[in-house]
Amino acid sequence: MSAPPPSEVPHVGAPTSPLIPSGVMGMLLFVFSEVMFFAGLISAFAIVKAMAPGGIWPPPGQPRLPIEATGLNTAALLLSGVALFYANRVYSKDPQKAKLPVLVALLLASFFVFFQGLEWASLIGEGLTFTSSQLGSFFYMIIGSHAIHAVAAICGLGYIYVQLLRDKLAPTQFWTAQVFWYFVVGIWPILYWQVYL
Amino acid sequence: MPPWFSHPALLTLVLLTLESSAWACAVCGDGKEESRWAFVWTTAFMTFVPLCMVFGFFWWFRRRFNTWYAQQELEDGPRPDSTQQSS
Repeated sequence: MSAPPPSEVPHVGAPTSPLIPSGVMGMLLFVFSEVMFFAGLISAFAIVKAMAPGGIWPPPGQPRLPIEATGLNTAALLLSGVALFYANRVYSKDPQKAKLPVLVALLLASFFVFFQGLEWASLIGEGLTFTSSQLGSFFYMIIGSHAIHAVAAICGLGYIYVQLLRDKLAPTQFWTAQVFWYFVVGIWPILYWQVYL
Repeated sequence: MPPWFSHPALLTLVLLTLESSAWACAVCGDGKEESRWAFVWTTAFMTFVPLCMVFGFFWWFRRRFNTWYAQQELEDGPRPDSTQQSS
Protein backbone atom coordinates (compact mmCIF):
# COMPACT_ATOMS: atom_id res chain seq x y z
CA MET A 1 0.00 0.00 0.00
CA SER A 2 1.54 3.36 -0.95
CA ALA A 3 1.64 6.08 1.66
CA PRO A 4 -0.23 9.37 1.16
CA PRO A 5 1.78 12.52 0.40
CA PRO A 6 3.46 13.99 3.49
CA SER A 7 1.12 17.03 3.39
CA GLU A 8 -1.92 14.79 3.94
CA VAL A 9 -0.50 12.77 6.81
CA PRO A 10 -2.51 13.73 9.91
CA HIS A 11 -0.38 14.57 12.88
CA VAL A 12 -1.13 11.92 15.48
CA GLY A 13 1.89 12.27 17.71
CA ALA A 14 5.60 12.96 17.67
CA PRO A 15 7.47 10.55 15.34
CA THR A 16 9.45 7.95 17.20
CA SER A 17 12.43 8.22 14.89
CA PRO A 18 13.53 10.92 12.43
CA LEU A 19 13.00 10.24 8.76
CA ILE A 20 16.58 11.27 7.96
CA PRO A 21 18.91 12.03 10.89
CA SER A 22 20.49 15.46 10.78
CA GLY A 23 24.03 14.09 10.61
CA VAL A 24 23.18 11.92 7.63
CA MET A 25 21.43 14.80 5.86
CA GLY A 26 24.41 17.06 6.43
CA MET A 27 26.78 14.39 5.16
CA LEU A 28 24.63 13.86 2.05
CA LEU A 29 24.70 17.57 1.27
CA PHE A 30 28.47 17.59 1.73
CA VAL A 31 28.85 14.55 -0.54
CA PHE A 32 26.75 16.24 -3.23
CA SER A 33 29.03 19.27 -3.21
CA GLU A 34 32.14 17.08 -3.32
CA VAL A 35 30.73 15.11 -6.25
CA MET A 36 30.40 18.38 -8.17
CA PHE A 37 33.94 19.32 -7.12
CA PHE A 38 35.32 16.11 -8.64
CA ALA A 39 33.05 16.44 -11.66
CA GLY A 40 34.55 19.86 -12.37
CA LEU A 41 38.09 18.52 -12.04
CA ILE A 42 37.35 15.57 -14.32
CA SER A 43 35.77 17.85 -16.91
CA ALA A 44 38.75 20.19 -16.90
CA PHE A 45 41.11 17.21 -17.19
CA ALA A 46 39.16 15.78 -20.12
CA ILE A 47 39.29 19.06 -22.01
CA VAL A 48 43.00 19.59 -21.37
CA LYS A 49 43.67 16.02 -22.49
CA ALA A 50 41.72 16.60 -25.71
CA MET A 51 43.64 19.80 -26.39
CA ALA A 52 47.07 18.21 -25.94
CA PRO A 53 49.50 19.44 -28.61
CA GLY A 54 49.61 16.95 -31.45
CA GLY A 55 47.09 14.76 -29.66
CA ILE A 56 49.94 13.25 -27.67
CA TRP A 57 48.90 12.16 -24.18
CA PRO A 58 50.51 11.64 -21.73
CA PRO A 59 52.91 14.49 -22.45
CA PRO A 60 56.34 13.37 -23.66
CA GLY A 61 58.99 12.87 -21.02
CA GLN A 62 56.53 11.94 -18.28
CA PRO A 63 56.49 8.53 -16.59
CA ARG A 64 53.74 6.04 -17.32
CA LEU A 65 51.12 5.83 -14.56
CA PRO A 66 51.11 2.52 -12.60
CA ILE A 67 47.86 1.12 -13.94
CA GLU A 68 48.29 -2.44 -12.70
CA ALA A 69 49.40 -1.58 -9.16
CA THR A 70 46.60 0.96 -8.86
CA GLY A 71 44.19 -1.66 -10.15
CA LEU A 72 45.13 -3.82 -7.16
CA ASN A 73 44.64 -0.85 -4.85
CA THR A 74 41.28 -0.24 -6.47
CA ALA A 75 40.23 -3.80 -5.73
CA ALA A 76 41.25 -3.32 -2.08
CA LEU A 77 39.21 -0.13 -1.86
CA LEU A 78 36.14 -1.74 -3.39
CA LEU A 79 36.47 -4.68 -0.99
CA SER A 80 36.54 -2.26 1.92
CA GLY A 81 33.24 -0.85 0.68
CA VAL A 82 31.79 -4.35 0.55
CA ALA A 83 33.09 -5.07 4.06
CA LEU A 84 31.44 -1.93 5.42
CA PHE A 85 28.19 -2.81 3.67
CA TYR A 86 28.29 -6.24 5.30
CA ALA A 87 29.07 -4.59 8.64
CA ASN A 88 25.94 -2.50 8.27
CA ARG A 89 23.85 -5.61 7.63
CA VAL A 90 25.09 -7.41 10.75
CA TYR A 91 25.00 -4.23 12.86
CA SER A 92 21.24 -4.02 12.58
CA LYS A 93 20.94 -7.55 14.04
CA ASP A 94 23.82 -7.59 16.54
CA PRO A 95 26.07 -4.51 16.81
CA GLN A 96 28.95 -6.46 18.33
CA LYS A 97 29.24 -8.68 15.29
CA ALA A 98 30.00 -5.62 13.18
CA LYS A 99 33.43 -5.16 14.78
CA LEU A 100 35.32 -7.54 12.50
CA PRO A 101 33.90 -6.30 9.18
CA VAL A 102 34.49 -2.68 10.23
CA LEU A 103 38.08 -3.56 11.14
CA VAL A 104 38.52 -5.29 7.77
CA ALA A 105 37.15 -2.22 6.00
CA LEU A 106 39.49 0.00 7.98
CA LEU A 107 42.55 -2.13 7.22
CA LEU A 108 41.75 -2.35 3.51
CA ALA A 109 41.23 1.40 3.37
CA SER A 110 44.55 2.00 5.10
CA PHE A 111 46.21 -0.43 2.66
CA PHE A 112 44.82 1.61 -0.23
CA VAL A 113 46.04 4.95 1.09
CA PHE A 114 49.43 3.58 2.11
CA PHE A 115 50.21 1.98 -1.24
CA GLN A 116 48.89 4.98 -3.14
CA GLY A 117 51.40 7.01 -1.15
CA LEU A 118 54.17 4.61 -2.15
CA GLU A 119 53.17 4.99 -5.79
CA TRP A 120 53.28 8.74 -5.46
CA ALA A 121 56.78 8.61 -4.04
CA SER A 122 57.82 6.45 -6.97
CA LEU A 123 56.22 8.81 -9.51
CA ILE A 124 57.84 11.86 -7.96
CA GLY A 125 61.18 10.09 -8.17
CA GLU A 126 60.55 9.40 -11.85
CA GLY A 127 59.82 13.04 -12.59
CA LEU A 128 56.04 13.40 -12.38
CA THR A 129 55.53 16.35 -10.06
CA PHE A 130 52.85 18.98 -9.54
CA THR A 131 54.67 21.39 -11.84
CA SER A 132 56.28 19.01 -14.33
CA SER A 133 53.37 18.97 -16.79
CA GLN A 134 49.61 19.28 -17.15
CA LEU A 135 49.37 15.56 -16.40
CA GLY A 136 51.31 16.03 -13.16
CA SER A 137 49.20 19.00 -12.09
CA PHE A 138 45.90 17.28 -12.73
CA PHE A 139 47.09 13.95 -11.37
CA TYR A 140 48.11 15.32 -8.00
CA MET A 141 45.14 17.67 -7.86
CA ILE A 142 42.51 15.01 -8.56
CA ILE A 143 44.11 12.00 -6.91
CA GLY A 144 45.41 14.15 -4.06
CA SER A 145 41.93 15.49 -3.37
CA HIS A 146 40.64 11.94 -3.27
CA ALA A 147 43.45 10.96 -0.92
CA ILE A 148 42.52 13.76 1.48
CA HIS A 149 38.92 12.58 1.46
CA ALA A 150 40.05 8.99 1.98
CA VAL A 151 42.21 9.93 4.96
CA ALA A 152 39.33 11.86 6.53
CA ALA A 153 36.99 8.93 5.93
CA ILE A 154 39.52 6.53 7.47
CA CYS A 155 39.59 8.74 10.58
CA GLY A 156 35.80 8.48 10.64
CA LEU A 157 35.94 4.71 10.30
CA GLY A 158 38.53 4.56 13.08
CA TYR A 159 36.21 6.53 15.35
CA ILE A 160 33.35 4.17 14.45
CA TYR A 161 35.51 1.16 15.32
CA VAL A 162 36.53 2.63 18.67
CA GLN A 163 32.91 3.41 19.50
CA LEU A 164 31.95 -0.15 18.55
CA LEU A 165 34.61 -1.53 20.87
CA ARG A 166 33.17 0.62 23.68
CA ASP A 167 29.65 -0.47 22.74
CA LYS A 168 28.70 3.21 22.37
CA LEU A 169 28.12 3.45 18.66
CA ALA A 170 24.90 5.22 17.73
CA PRO A 171 23.22 4.04 14.52
CA THR A 172 23.20 7.57 13.08
CA GLN A 173 26.96 7.87 13.61
CA PHE A 174 27.52 4.61 11.78
CA TRP A 175 25.22 5.65 8.97
CA THR A 176 26.95 9.02 8.57
CA ALA A 177 30.39 7.41 8.34
CA GLN A 178 29.06 4.93 5.81
CA VAL A 179 27.68 7.65 3.55
CA PHE A 180 31.09 9.31 3.38
CA TRP A 181 32.97 6.04 2.86
CA TYR A 182 30.63 4.90 0.07
CA PHE A 183 31.24 8.24 -1.63
CA VAL A 184 35.04 7.81 -1.37
CA VAL A 185 34.79 4.24 -2.67
CA GLY A 186 32.24 5.03 -5.37
CA ILE A 187 34.05 7.98 -6.90
CA TRP A 188 37.42 6.23 -7.10
CA PRO A 189 36.66 3.91 -10.09
CA ILE A 190 35.60 6.98 -12.09
CA LEU A 191 38.81 8.79 -11.21
CA TYR A 192 40.86 5.67 -12.00
CA TRP A 193 39.15 5.30 -15.37
CA GLN A 194 39.60 8.95 -16.33
CA VAL A 195 43.07 9.64 -14.97
CA TYR A 196 44.93 6.33 -15.19
CA LEU A 197 43.34 4.58 -18.20
CA MET B 1 26.07 63.82 -24.38
CA PRO B 2 24.01 61.90 -26.97
CA PRO B 3 20.43 61.15 -25.87
CA TRP B 4 20.89 57.35 -26.15
CA PHE B 5 23.79 57.45 -23.68
CA SER B 6 21.50 58.19 -20.73
CA HIS B 7 18.85 55.61 -21.64
CA PRO B 8 19.86 52.07 -20.48
CA ALA B 9 17.94 50.15 -23.16
CA LEU B 10 19.21 52.34 -25.99
CA LEU B 11 22.72 52.21 -24.60
CA THR B 12 22.55 48.42 -24.52
CA LEU B 13 21.40 48.28 -28.13
CA VAL B 14 24.23 50.55 -29.23
CA LEU B 15 26.81 48.50 -27.33
CA LEU B 16 25.54 45.29 -28.95
CA THR B 17 26.41 46.68 -32.36
CA LEU B 18 29.97 47.21 -31.21
CA GLU B 19 30.61 43.51 -30.36
CA SER B 20 33.39 41.54 -31.96
CA SER B 21 34.70 37.99 -31.55
CA ALA B 22 36.77 37.75 -28.36
CA TRP B 23 37.94 34.10 -28.77
CA ALA B 24 38.15 33.89 -25.00
CA CYS B 25 37.07 30.25 -24.92
CA ALA B 26 40.13 28.05 -25.06
CA VAL B 27 38.09 25.13 -26.35
CA CYS B 28 36.19 26.94 -29.11
CA GLY B 29 39.32 28.73 -30.28
CA ASP B 30 41.31 25.50 -30.49
CA GLY B 31 39.63 24.23 -33.65
CA LYS B 32 40.21 20.52 -33.04
CA GLU B 33 37.39 18.01 -33.28
CA GLU B 34 38.61 16.21 -30.13
CA SER B 35 38.35 19.47 -28.18
CA ARG B 36 34.84 20.07 -29.42
CA TRP B 37 33.70 16.59 -28.41
CA ALA B 38 35.39 16.93 -25.03
CA PHE B 39 33.55 20.20 -24.49
CA VAL B 40 30.21 18.66 -25.50
CA TRP B 41 30.43 15.58 -23.30
CA THR B 42 31.83 17.42 -20.29
CA THR B 43 29.02 19.97 -20.58
CA ALA B 44 26.48 17.15 -20.69
CA PHE B 45 28.26 15.47 -17.78
CA MET B 46 28.21 18.59 -15.62
CA THR B 47 24.55 19.12 -16.50
CA PHE B 48 23.25 15.65 -15.78
CA VAL B 49 25.29 14.74 -12.70
CA PRO B 50 23.54 17.27 -10.40
CA LEU B 51 20.15 16.49 -11.94
CA CYS B 52 20.66 12.78 -11.34
CA MET B 53 21.76 13.45 -7.76
CA VAL B 54 18.73 15.61 -7.02
CA PHE B 55 16.23 13.20 -8.57
CA GLY B 56 18.00 10.25 -6.98
CA PHE B 57 17.77 11.89 -3.58
CA PHE B 58 14.05 12.58 -3.93
CA TRP B 59 13.42 9.07 -5.21
CA TRP B 60 15.27 7.61 -2.20
CA PHE B 61 13.55 10.05 0.16
CA ARG B 62 10.12 8.99 -1.14
CA ARG B 63 11.00 5.32 -0.65
CA ARG B 64 12.26 6.02 2.83
CA PHE B 65 9.11 7.97 3.70
CA ASN B 66 6.94 5.08 2.55
CA THR B 67 8.91 2.67 4.73
CA TRP B 68 8.83 5.05 7.68
CA TYR B 69 5.10 5.65 7.28
CA ALA B 70 4.38 1.93 7.14
CA GLN B 71 6.44 1.44 10.28
CA GLN B 72 4.60 4.25 12.08
CA GLU B 73 1.28 2.63 11.18
CA LEU B 74 2.45 -0.68 12.61
CA GLU B 75 3.51 1.04 15.85
CA ASP B 76 0.55 3.42 16.24
CA GLY B 77 -2.18 1.57 14.41
CA PRO B 78 -4.06 2.77 11.30
CA ARG B 79 -4.38 6.55 10.98
CA PRO B 80 -7.88 7.95 11.67
CA ASP B 81 -9.83 8.61 8.49
CA SER B 82 -10.45 12.35 7.88
CA THR B 83 -14.07 11.67 6.82
CA GLN B 84 -14.82 10.04 10.18
CA GLN B 85 -13.58 13.12 12.04
CA SER B 86 -16.12 15.42 10.35
CA SER B 87 -19.19 13.29 11.30
